[in-house]
Amino acid sequence: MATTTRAPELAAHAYPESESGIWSWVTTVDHKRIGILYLVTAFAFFIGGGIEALIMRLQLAGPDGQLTAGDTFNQLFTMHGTSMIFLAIMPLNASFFNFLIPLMIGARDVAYPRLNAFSYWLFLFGGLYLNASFIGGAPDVGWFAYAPLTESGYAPTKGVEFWIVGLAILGLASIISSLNFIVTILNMRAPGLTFRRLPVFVWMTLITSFLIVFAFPPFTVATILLFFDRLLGSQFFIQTAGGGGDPVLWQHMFWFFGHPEVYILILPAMGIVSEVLPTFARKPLFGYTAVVFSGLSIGFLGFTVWAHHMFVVGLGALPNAVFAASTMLIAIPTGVKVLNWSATLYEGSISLKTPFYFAVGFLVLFTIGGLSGMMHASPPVDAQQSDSYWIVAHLHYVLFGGALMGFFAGMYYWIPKMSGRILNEKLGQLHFWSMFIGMNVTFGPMHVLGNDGMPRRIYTFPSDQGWDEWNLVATIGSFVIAVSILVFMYNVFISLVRGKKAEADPWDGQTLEWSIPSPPPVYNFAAIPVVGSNRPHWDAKYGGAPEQPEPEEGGIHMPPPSYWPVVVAFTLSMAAVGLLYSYPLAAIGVIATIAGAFAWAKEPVDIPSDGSNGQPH
Amino acid sequence: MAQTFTPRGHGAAHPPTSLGLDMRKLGMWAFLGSESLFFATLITNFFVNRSSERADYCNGLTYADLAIGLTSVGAFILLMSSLTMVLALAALRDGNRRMYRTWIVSTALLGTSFLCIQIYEFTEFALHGKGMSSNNFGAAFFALTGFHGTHVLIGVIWLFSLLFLRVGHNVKRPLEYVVGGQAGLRTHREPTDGGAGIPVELCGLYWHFVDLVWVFIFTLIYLLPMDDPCGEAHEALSAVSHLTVL
Amino acid sequence: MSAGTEGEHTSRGAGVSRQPAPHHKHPPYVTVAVWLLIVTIAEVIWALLPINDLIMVPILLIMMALKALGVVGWYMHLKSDSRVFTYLASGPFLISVGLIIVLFTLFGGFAERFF
Repeated sequence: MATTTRAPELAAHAYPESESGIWSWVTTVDHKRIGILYLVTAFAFFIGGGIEALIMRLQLAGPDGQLTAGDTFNQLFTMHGTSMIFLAIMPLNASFFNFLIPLMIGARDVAYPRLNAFSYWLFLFGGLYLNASFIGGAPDVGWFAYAPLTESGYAPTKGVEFWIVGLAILGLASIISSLNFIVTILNMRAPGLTFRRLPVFVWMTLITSFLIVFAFPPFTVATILLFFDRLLGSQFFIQTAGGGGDPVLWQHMFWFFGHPEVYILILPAMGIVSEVLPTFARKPLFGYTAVVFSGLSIGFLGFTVWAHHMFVVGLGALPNAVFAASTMLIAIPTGVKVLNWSATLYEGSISLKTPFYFAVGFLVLFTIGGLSGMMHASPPVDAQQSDSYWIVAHLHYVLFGGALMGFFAGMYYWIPKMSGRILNEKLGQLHFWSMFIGMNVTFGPMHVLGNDGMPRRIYTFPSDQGWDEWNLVATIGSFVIAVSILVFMYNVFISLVRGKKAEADPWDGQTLEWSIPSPPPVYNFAAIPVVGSNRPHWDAKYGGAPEQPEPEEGGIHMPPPSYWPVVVAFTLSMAAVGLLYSYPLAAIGVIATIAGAFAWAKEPVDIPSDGSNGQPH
Repeated sequence: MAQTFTPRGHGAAHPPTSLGLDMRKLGMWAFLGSESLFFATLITNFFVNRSSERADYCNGLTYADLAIGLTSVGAFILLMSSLTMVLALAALRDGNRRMYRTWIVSTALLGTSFLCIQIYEFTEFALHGKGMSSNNFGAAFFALTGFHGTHVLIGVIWLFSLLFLRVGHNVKRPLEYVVGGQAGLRTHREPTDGGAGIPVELCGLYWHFVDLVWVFIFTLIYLLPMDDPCGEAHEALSAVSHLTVL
Repeated sequence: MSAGTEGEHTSRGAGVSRQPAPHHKHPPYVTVAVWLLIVTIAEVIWALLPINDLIMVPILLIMMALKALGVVGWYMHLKSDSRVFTYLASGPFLISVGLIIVLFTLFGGFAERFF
């Protein structure tokens, strides 16, 4: 079908020509390729963060550990937290957004394909930038970087600067990609795909995107102010005898971002589970509307609870009570969701495949994590648990047991769509069980350790505290997790090489992505589908779908690849490097960025001369 | 057949948008929402540090140093630049490209003069040793107005670059028509602005937002009253304070 | 979000109110500018008057809001444009105002500064 004719006004412009090989990936604006790039890169960072965790667990395996000195340990837990949140879970979610959102809403690409590529390259360079700090001393202040510990007097290396600027780059990448998804979801749905028919995963992506767009700017401002403190001698977050500011302000600004961030991490997993469970229970999702509105209220309430991270700061009884109440409110929509997922399973004819195992694993572990979270929603209880291993246990149950279990459910569910191969079922179940057991053996004992008074972030402990056994158990568990991840990687490798070929619809799915071949063609849909319910592909298979249009003659209009996203992302990162090491380099980077942006704007995109195309960039 | 992105011909129909709105405008508004929280945090920071009770308050910039007169001129300039901006868009929509260019250049020049005033103000303060490290009132002031100034600078660059971009070249066509509309389905509208003039409108939205932020900053920083125990000491502060009285 | 849901059903899609060029009826831009100027001058004069803060501050904030509405409503076309844009803008605006007020309160703003 492909004709290579090019509109006359575009013919003169030098577009990247390769359609395979490395340059085709560097210049791609195809959302599916960008999704895969995100997936591979984020998984690499995930492995890095996991290795950091293993080293820490080795250090803590027994009393008086000698493996890493105190400062290295501090760098490890800071980089572990920062990497897992900003370089692993968020971009892993972004990879699903990229790959799936256009497929699920019946579109051929996202709203701004070039900006989408730009987000990916910024993410990659930002991640490398952050990890480059290990050379001169990584940030060693914890992932929430409490002031005044981050001020130059207490953190003299450039680690904190790397953290600030690296996260500014990553934040920019996240905001841009979220704007992209907001517009894509609002404006590029297939005919008939109203908001009441959107798949839950798309809804959760929309909510997550709004959370990112609203929560990241306060964080960026906070880090910039910290940068001023360190670089220009202002005193926003440090108090001295002569005056200065208030370290508590940092905590407010950080957690005003930090709590929505928690939902940014978990809502996509909730969306994945809401797609996986109905497919394998062969029932529609129980209470679709309730699940969607719960997601919306979680998103909204997420902005009203931040000070529950600060109960021990001493805000006073009234603020603590208000924030405790709003925190407990969040349990209601979360409980509604858990109930709906459970009710979806009730009387379903369940097909016990690996994605389903992971989804149920999510359900169980996330509920445990939610319950322990409810406990320290109460300020007096939190006063006991704050800064102890109890918190570590809680957050890993919701982020590992929640977000990552959901992510793996999505991997087993959608890798056939991405690659055209089904992952090995036996290895998948081995992966699930080893991960499920390893996870509980690692993080379960931390509840006990926390209750026994073991503080977070200590790099060693004496043997007379009664913490020896449980720490050893947790370390063993962490290596079980590591083995399970190796099983997963082996599974992906072996299945991609000689796994079973996936048909278009291997799981009897209900959403639009299963109506097209695996892997999907570049243009996704030969004809944009017409949607009649929130289970369009079931309608198509079992009756009830509205009449579908025929593919049009004359080829399909796809955005051309571009050099500019990677170029501008590079020049911007160059400016970021210059900011720390050489101002002339920073100036060159800024000027090159402006020039690159201008060239980007000048690059003719395929807007037809009647101007009716809604997909300009 | 190799999978390919090559079909780039104009023969194919383009999917209409679900809301009937232009993609870029929708994205711009979402972006402005993000920017709103950016400035809200800076304003918050200013309010938290807006206190004369700190021991080092009198060491640096104080409330009495802020020049209402000079700043009022700045506020006037920005408001006028917003007017010229909408006039530019209106001229483009009317097909009057000469007036469009005139108004765009005026907007950019007004923005530049605002920047000049701000640079003058900052330089004066710096010359009197009132910088980021002197006290937190000043530091928060510089952070907030400095980031606003940076936004103005980006806006000025954007405005000038509009002159070199091909915008609004197909503006004189009838704008509204409807496609789709299958039975039982919501009617889909083509983006009715049809892409014409949208780059200018986007720049305008950004520019008005920057003006809007100044509307807030002007009142919240300069006009809200505040006790200043060391205001008297700075009576002789050069030209800035000469302009303090209207 | 729900904003979009409602906006979708509104009869005022984008540009419905905007007539095709060149018979374009523009909003009263110059009149709005004159009003903005008048309010700005009033603001400055009001701020220089020796008045109790309790009266001074609320009036200043009201004048600020009026100016903001003028800019957003006419210059940014929210008054005549699709309501989706209004919803998109008001959500973050409300969160912003909430952030400022809550932190202002928590840092003792109402207790120490103005009142």
